[in-house]
Amino acid sequence: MHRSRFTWLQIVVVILLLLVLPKLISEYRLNLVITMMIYSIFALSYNMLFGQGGLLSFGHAAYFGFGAYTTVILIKQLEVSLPLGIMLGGLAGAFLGCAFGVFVVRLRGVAFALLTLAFNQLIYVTAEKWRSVTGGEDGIAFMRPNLFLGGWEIDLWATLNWYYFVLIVTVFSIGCLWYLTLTPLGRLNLCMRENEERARFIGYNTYASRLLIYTLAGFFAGIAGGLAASFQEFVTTTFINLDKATDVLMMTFIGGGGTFFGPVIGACALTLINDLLSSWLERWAIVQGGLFILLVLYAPNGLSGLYMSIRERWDAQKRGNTRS
Amino acid sequence: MNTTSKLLDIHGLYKDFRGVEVIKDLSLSVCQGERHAIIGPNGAGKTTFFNLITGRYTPSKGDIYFEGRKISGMTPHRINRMGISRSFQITNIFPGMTVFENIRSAIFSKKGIRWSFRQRVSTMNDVNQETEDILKLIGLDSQHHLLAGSLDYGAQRALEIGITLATDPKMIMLDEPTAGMSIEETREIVAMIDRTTQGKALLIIEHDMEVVFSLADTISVIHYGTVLASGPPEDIRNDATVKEAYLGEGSTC
Repeated sequence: MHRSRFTWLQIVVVILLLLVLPKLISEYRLNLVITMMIYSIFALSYNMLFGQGGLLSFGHAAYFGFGAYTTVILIKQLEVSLPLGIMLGGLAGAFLGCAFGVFVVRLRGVAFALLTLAFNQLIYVTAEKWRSVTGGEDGIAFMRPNLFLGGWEIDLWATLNWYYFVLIVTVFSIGCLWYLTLTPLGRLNLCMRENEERARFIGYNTYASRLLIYTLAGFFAGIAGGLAASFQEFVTTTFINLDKATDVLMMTFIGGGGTFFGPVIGACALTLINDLLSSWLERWAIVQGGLFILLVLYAPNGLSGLYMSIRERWDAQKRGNTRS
Repeated sequence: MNTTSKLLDIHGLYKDFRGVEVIKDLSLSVCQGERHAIIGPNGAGKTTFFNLITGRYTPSKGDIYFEGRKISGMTPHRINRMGISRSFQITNIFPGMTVFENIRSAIFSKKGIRWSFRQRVSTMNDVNQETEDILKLIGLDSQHHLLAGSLDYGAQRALEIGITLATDPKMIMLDEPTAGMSIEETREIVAMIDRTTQGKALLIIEHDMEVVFSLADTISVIHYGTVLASGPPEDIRNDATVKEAYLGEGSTC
């Protein structure tokens, strides 16, 4: 993994910008930013497996969707608070990640990809058929409850308040995921991507380590799912279908799995492209697919990889100019 | 030689791959501090023997004891944690990570810091210091920031041995550490192995007789999956069966 070029100063500037953003853009755009933030968490959780762990999963929507359904059902049936509901959505994602992980992390390559896909379809079919709990294809609609904080009631139905709520969860989640890459466990994930066998022969239990990483990825996917369902005040099988599973792969790939913030770029880019193109073109998915093909062919490390290589070339050119 | 000083003890080991017996009735022991070289023609089963000890394969028959505990059938990571560390014939490193991180990953494992997320790696001064020490020992400290995959072949072989050493094993197993190296590089790496493995048990597979005779105090000849002869270097040099099977009757390779 390339060293992140982001400094603390840059991070502070970005967070400050996000804090004042509601003053600068319209409510419609603000909703778009909320979507970007939620998908950023989802894509970053996916990149723990894809970019950092070297595992190509086609079933990451299972944990996103499972977290979403859990959050919605708990809030609707048991009237738990929103933060608790989302947290439990994350834990549900982790639980499912661990349960499926026991089987999938034994495998690599094509077998891994196919089994994750199979498990995703298993959860999808369950959500579709178990109507009494999940509402089938109709899904479940609910109201985003207000937030009670020390006697204060915060109206989360207002876009502005909701935006700040999502911002806090996002900054916290991304912070956790980033911190994780700097810890021994995060470094081990890279080691296993680079050479799993060597890791075993220096004393790492790579099966258990992969399982732990897979569980953590499930947790953050569940958080993202809970947030997304709370945002739309609705959960349906589209949260869990194959499109969702390939969307997160596309986001991560387009942004680039080789850098930490690459998937965030991908999540923002794809959200923006979908919004722009769907209002202009009826068949926007064709353009999206074309773009994906171009990137796979000419920028296999995604937009962030493209940026890095252009910058490297630029730096080399500058050095060449000063020398002559 | 009493049994308590035996670090590694192997009796009647067998391994067959779909009916092909690669290792048959192999017995061998390594004592504390012994420097034991394994020689033998290509395909004799030397690497398979290493794979059996380190848990990559399980024996078809026979047991392997390390410090009196049975290790045959254990997983590679368990065997490593008991104090056996190996290098590979084909360079086996973490190519996309820096030289520093290659070594540090082994240091973490040695210290039992495997899943910790209480602290960032950059703030763990003792770990980073130990990594620096190993890098100095293998002579790669000036290249610590480079990607391991970008090193030249000789440096990659040194790194391979460095990773093996960094888990601080009781027994070090090196599988042809000088394979594919120039005479100059070989001399350097042998001096490095000699320096870094002092006082530890060493089990080394090697084709270069000069290396074998300069490093080892015991030599075992493996031929068709079994030990043909075992003893001090002088005995092996003069052993008629060994000459015939391996050294090629006077002619040196």
